[in-house]
Amino acid sequence: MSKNGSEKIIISEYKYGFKKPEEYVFKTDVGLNEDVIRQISSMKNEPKWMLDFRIKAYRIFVNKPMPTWGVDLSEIDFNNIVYYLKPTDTQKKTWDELPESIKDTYDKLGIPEAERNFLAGVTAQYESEVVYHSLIKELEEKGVVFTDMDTGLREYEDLVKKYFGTLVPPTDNKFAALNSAVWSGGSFIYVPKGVRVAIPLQAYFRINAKNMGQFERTLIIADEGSFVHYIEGCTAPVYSTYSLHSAVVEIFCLPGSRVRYTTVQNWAPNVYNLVTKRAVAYENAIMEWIDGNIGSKKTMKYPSILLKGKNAKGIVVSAAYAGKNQEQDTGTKIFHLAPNTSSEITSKSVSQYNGKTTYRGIISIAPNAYNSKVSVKCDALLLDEESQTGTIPVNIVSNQENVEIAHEATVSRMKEIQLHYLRSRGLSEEEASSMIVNGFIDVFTKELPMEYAVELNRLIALNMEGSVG
Amino acid sequence: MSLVIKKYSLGIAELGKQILDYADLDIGPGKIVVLVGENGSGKSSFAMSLLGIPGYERSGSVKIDGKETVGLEIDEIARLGLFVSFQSPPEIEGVTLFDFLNASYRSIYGSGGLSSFKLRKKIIDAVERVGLNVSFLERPINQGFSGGERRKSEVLQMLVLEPKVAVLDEVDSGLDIRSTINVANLLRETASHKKCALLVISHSIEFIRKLHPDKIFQLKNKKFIEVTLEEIESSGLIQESN
Repeated sequence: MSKNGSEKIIISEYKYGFKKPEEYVFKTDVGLNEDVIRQISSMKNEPKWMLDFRIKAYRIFVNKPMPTWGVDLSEIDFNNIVYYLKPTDTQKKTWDELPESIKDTYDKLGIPEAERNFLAGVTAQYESEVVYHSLIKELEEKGVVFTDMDTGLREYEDLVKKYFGTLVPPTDNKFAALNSAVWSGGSFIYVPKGVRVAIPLQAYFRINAKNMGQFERTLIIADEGSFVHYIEGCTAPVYSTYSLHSAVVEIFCLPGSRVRYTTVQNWAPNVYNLVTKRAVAYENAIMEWIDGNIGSKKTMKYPSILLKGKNAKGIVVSAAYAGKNQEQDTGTKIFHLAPNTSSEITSKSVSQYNGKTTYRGIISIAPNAYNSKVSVKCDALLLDEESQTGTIPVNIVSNQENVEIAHEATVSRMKEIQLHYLRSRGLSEEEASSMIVNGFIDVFTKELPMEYAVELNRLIALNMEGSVG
Repeated sequence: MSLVIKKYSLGIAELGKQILDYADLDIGPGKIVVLVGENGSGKSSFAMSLLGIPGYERSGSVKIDGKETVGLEIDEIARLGLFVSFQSPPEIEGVTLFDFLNASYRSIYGSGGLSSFKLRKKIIDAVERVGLNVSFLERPINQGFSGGERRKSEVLQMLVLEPKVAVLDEVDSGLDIRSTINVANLLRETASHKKCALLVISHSIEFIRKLHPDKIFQLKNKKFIEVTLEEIESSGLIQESN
């Protein structure tokens, strides 16, 4: 019941900012050129069309200017990044076989055993694994494919070729082009017609930990009338030596299907998190983005939905926290491209210290999208005088016929009397303020599976305490 | 379960207003003391100041069970066993009354208090005693609460947290007759069964009568002056009924 009970953990600076020597067996040279891309593709034994796709994308990347809006990205030095690094040549089989340095890292992070194993790429004999194996068996019998993107390309080439890069083409933006050129890992999911996957598919449980890359690529195809809930990453902090994370996610909701995609990103504070996520929903399909942004230095992420078929529905529930030196530039883009389509957007953002949150949204109603409904609700909470927030909504309405658009935006400050009230009932100042913040984002937290909800509340408390006092 | 106030001086710097000057007040275990006073005499400011809420200039001594509270932080004072109801408690989005009560109880009693199961039972029991529906516990704190519901929610918190000393500021205002009698009975029970020292601020003669207070004080000329029920009845300080 007590999701809001916070735990007393005092940290003085970023807890996850320690470094370990890298262990790898293969690594490309620093920087990017066509040779590096050929190397990556050949390491993976990819078909020629994928290599061609990569090369073409690379050329687009080189020629595309940096975005002129959003956060300041001038610090990113593309020549100083290692684009491919294969951490170990074979999957380690047990926790004990892992190098001490990695084990030590996960110890310091204090993350649960099962998660450590996932993060470390261990295939271990834990109960959850056993459960997972039987789940996989059940899924396989129903024809559900749930694997990493590299394996997906190898084993389901036709399917991948049909959809890959069609929703987010390399020409979309500079970072989508970069990802298309150097992608590695990510998830590949196919749910056949009419199949409803009862248990959320979690990257966290997947045996191959290859999706933890810097440039992962995820492709989900939900065939007609199917349902799947995919959970990407987890609230456990992700340690990264990379300064740039740039993923692309493409989701196809075929007629009558429903896909729910849940993310809570908690990248280290040195990371630029620039992600392109897009879904298309055909007739009677429902797409839901549940998107949380807690970590990273700067994030630009606007999960989008193309409502392409009649009665298609898009739902976006997001929460962002920007603490010291953080910028969360997030939002959503919804394109109503057919009649009777509807969208609901709920965005909650919290800024503290000099952190900055921005909600950036586009709602577009095409001429034929009559009887469409839109509801946008953006609430921002500022915790102190230094913190900042902004709302930049854009509505492009080409059709007014029976179109309903409701837009509501609020900015509030944490009030002294709220703190006094909670403290007068025994809560410490830290507990009181994290209770107020967790309450504020509760509409988001409620959408998460229970264990993640609890973790998220702790994480918020931890982040807030990081600099309190 | 006692409140001993000595040589208490209280001012609001911002308004340049002095409320109390070397005032004394003593409430023993299980005793009920009523405080009356004209509007604007500073009764509510006095109640809030006891919690250590910033904005007040205060000196002197306020002891709960012999422990000095002047100079302590709000939550430290609360954990020593002081409960003060708020006249206009703030709304807090997304935090249910149940979660709030749970967290408050744990911060005061730690793991040494009731088990989660028993605490839950106690909370539900308290909701019924104040005359609210159990579904109330799942509502965000004070959001959309009516005036009467806010008062009842404050009394409910006192019943669950079982403070050593409770200061109740006009918890009867806006209540119907039945609820007024019920709240008076609950306060009397809290004093007699839990040995809580109660300071009740009220303008209602009906309510004060139902409380059967041990003593009544009037805040006047920056002091607490003991008065009788008859005296205040004829003074026009209080309302005959709500």
